[in-house]
Amino acid sequence: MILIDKYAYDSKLACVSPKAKLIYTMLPLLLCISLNSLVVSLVTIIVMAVTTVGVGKIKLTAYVKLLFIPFGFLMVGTITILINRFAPNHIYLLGVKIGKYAYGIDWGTLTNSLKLVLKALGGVSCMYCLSLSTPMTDLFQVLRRTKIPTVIVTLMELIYRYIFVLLDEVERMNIAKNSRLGNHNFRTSLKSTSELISMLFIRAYNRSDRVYAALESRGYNGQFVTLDEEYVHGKKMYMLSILLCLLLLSAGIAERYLL
Amino acid sequence: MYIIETKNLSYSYDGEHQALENVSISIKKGKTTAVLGGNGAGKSTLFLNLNGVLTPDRGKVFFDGKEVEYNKKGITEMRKRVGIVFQDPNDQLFSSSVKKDISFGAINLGLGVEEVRERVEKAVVQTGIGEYVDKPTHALSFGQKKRVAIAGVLAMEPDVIILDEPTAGLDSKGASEILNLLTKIKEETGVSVILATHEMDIVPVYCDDVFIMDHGKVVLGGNVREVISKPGILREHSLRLPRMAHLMEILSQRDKLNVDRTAATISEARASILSLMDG
Repeated sequence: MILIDKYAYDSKLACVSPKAKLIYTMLPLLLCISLNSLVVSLVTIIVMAVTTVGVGKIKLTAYVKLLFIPFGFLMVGTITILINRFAPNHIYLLGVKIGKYAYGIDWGTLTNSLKLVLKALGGVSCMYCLSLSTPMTDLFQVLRRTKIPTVIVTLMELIYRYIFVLLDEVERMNIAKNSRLGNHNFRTSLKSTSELISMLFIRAYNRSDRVYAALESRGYNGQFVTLDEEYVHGKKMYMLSILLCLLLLSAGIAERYLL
Repeated sequence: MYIIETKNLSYSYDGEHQALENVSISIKKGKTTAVLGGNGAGKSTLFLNLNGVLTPDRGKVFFDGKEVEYNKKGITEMRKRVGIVFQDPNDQLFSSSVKKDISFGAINLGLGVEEVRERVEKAVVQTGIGEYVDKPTHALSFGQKKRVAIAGVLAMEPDVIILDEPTAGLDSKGASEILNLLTKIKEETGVSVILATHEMDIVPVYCDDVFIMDHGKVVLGGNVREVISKPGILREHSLRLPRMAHLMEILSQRDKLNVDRTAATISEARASILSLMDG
């Protein structure tokens, strides 16, 4: 998670308006999922990969590695769709007869599972395109302008910031724990982990006091208003979003009526 | 001319133990004042009182000669003019975006967007953080975060900057960089600086005045030379002389050399020893 976060700041697209990027990735995501077509999914995957790797300049190897993370889950999930139970006289591509039924793969299950895998990958690559080009703080700025209550966005911001501080603290406490044989055996590791968790809670609570004092000293008045970041205007990106959506729609229609 | 004066300032967190007891100090305008004292001496409590985060139980605070009233208006005014840089920058930097964090205090002052933008730019240049201003806060090193925290206070353009343990957690290079930065900012803007520390060696180099606190009381105050000439009181309150002054003390007491015992920096000690050799 920390790694992914770093890519976003390195992306060449980081300076583009986050709103434009949100539209550019979320509309195709919706289309890709709702149209449920092989071609649309493939086009989505390719376009998002080109955007992320080609334009955003994320390393191809890193991108492929990231795509493999959900791939494992997908494989496990689609196996149940891919392999089905058939009547023994059914024409299947691959299978074995066990007792009264045959178990295996036929054209229908193959296309269905392929569609599912590609659809999911299409969705994932849309999400990656967004998260690998848009730092969280930029997203918060967009969310602030929506109807979402500001208190929730503020909480998101604070949680996101202090995740890293807490992680740091956990890491240090963990090293201290291990250096004193806190993981000597199962019993001690259970005990020391429970102590670590309660200590962490107390530390977080104490820190919140200090954070509040620091905020107060800078004139905090219940509002987390800060300067908005300035972006390259996303005019081009909006145009591209429309074009991409049209492309996906026509691909979906073409597949349905022509093939 | 004093920028801040306190008269018999007292504060207690729980009503039983006095965290501050009759603290009377005077901070000179445009100078650097050190507040020395061990942990729990009351330094941080004093600072929070000076910034209006805490309200004193008794006593008075004068800012620029005028008495501070601890009502909403007075506190806002005080926060405008006194900025605190806290010891742990992770406590102070609440935003993941460096620029947003720097702008927070300036926006709370009710300034216009353009003005805030200008101040943020200026603070970024003053603290020399341009290189990493676009990185997320959590990707910065401790020293870098410290500079960002200072920038966030500078953007409010206060008359007084208070720094709680500015060198804690920094290596010697990082520490002297921060202190030189403060000296530079002080020269450029004429801001008054208060720093809490227990590092004696930085005091003669960077500070003009010193106050020593112990158990919520001010036990000694004055300019650096005056304070260093009373090593007994320093030791009574678990502080020590700066290394150079300690050397001068030994040379004078044990070796009966006629050196300047208040020479606390390398250059002062060198001058004193050289003059002895010439004479």
